Amino acid sequence: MTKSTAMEVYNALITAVLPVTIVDALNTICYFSSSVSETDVHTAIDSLGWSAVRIIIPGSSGADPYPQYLNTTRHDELLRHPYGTVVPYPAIEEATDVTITSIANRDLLIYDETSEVFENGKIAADDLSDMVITTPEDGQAIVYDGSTSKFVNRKIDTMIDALIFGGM
Amino acid sequence: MVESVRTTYITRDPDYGTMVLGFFQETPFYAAILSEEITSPLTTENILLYDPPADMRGDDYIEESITATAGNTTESEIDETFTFIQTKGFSFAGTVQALVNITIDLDTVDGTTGGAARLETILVELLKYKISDGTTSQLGIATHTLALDVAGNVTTSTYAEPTLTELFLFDVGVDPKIDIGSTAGYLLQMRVKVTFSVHTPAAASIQTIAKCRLNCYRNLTRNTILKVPII
Repeated sequence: MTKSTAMEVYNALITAVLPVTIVDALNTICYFSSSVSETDVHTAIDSLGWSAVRIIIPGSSGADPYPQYLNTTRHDELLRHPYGTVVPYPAIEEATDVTITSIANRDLLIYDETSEVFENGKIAADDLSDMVITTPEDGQAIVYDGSTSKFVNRKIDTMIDALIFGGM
Repeated sequence: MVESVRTTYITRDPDYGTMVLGFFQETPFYAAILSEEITSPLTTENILLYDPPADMRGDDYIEESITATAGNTTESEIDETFTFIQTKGFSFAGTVQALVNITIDLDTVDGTTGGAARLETILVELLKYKISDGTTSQLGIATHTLALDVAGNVTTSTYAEPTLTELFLFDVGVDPKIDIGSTAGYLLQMRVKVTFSVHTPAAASIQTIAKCRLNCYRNLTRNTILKVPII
């Protein structure tokens, strides 16, 4: 950004018929005799290389001129930003590593190592880390297999038979 | 030692937490103006003052005024040398800081077309004044180009008299140290030269008048100070 002289800024504001009274380049402040809009000021001075400059107009709309600073008005406690009021939080699909498609009731976020993003969906029983489902059939139940330390699918009848014969 | 005047600094490096980087003493000499000039060992009313209070009848600042006719820019300057007149000796070394406080005042303008006053440059020169023959030798010199201005069509002091403090650093070395005082035969001087200009647009019917002030000791918020590391 090039810095124009106060006279150049003053002339640009006067040419734009804005009510400027003083341009103070030492403090980078402009004073006006009546209210002006930020848009009008930008229109007048952007050609001087001030397009990237943030213009603060204290008191013009009652807006806080220093929103970058913490204070007790914007923050009910100095170390906390109330969610959704002072600091709005985004929807989860706005995160860069989340893809939401046709969201449905009781969907969960599941990481897909192929697409390298979290996607919505419902988990299958086989997705559990301590469960191994092999060719499920009618009448099978989930039972714990001590030899593999996993829950596996088996027929209940087979298990009862095993208990009966094993007990004799 | 006056605690409020002479301060000891122990600095910690933020990258290493507890490392002590330096230990030095720094004494501020305030630029001040006497109501009646001294005549020995030199004739001046501009002094460097170690221990406040200053001469209460002396001026607070040195001011120059210039006028520009329509369509023209006029330049002027304030060029003053301040001398530490206490002859009790001291020695200093290292980095000397000069803080120059300037006010630029847009004093008269055309109420429609306006005008501008500009602070162009500030020069600071450190000098050793030899008491025996009145000659000076240079310890350091620096010029800062500011090119900062105030423009407008009102002269209300609240808006049209901005003030700034410009920092100058001079490394005068540590070996040999610099000896000042009657025994050494030298006085310490700080020369400050401020150039400023005023501009009146061609369409203006009233000439623009600008004033520039070199602020000296009186108002604690607007001081010109030389900070010297005393050893």
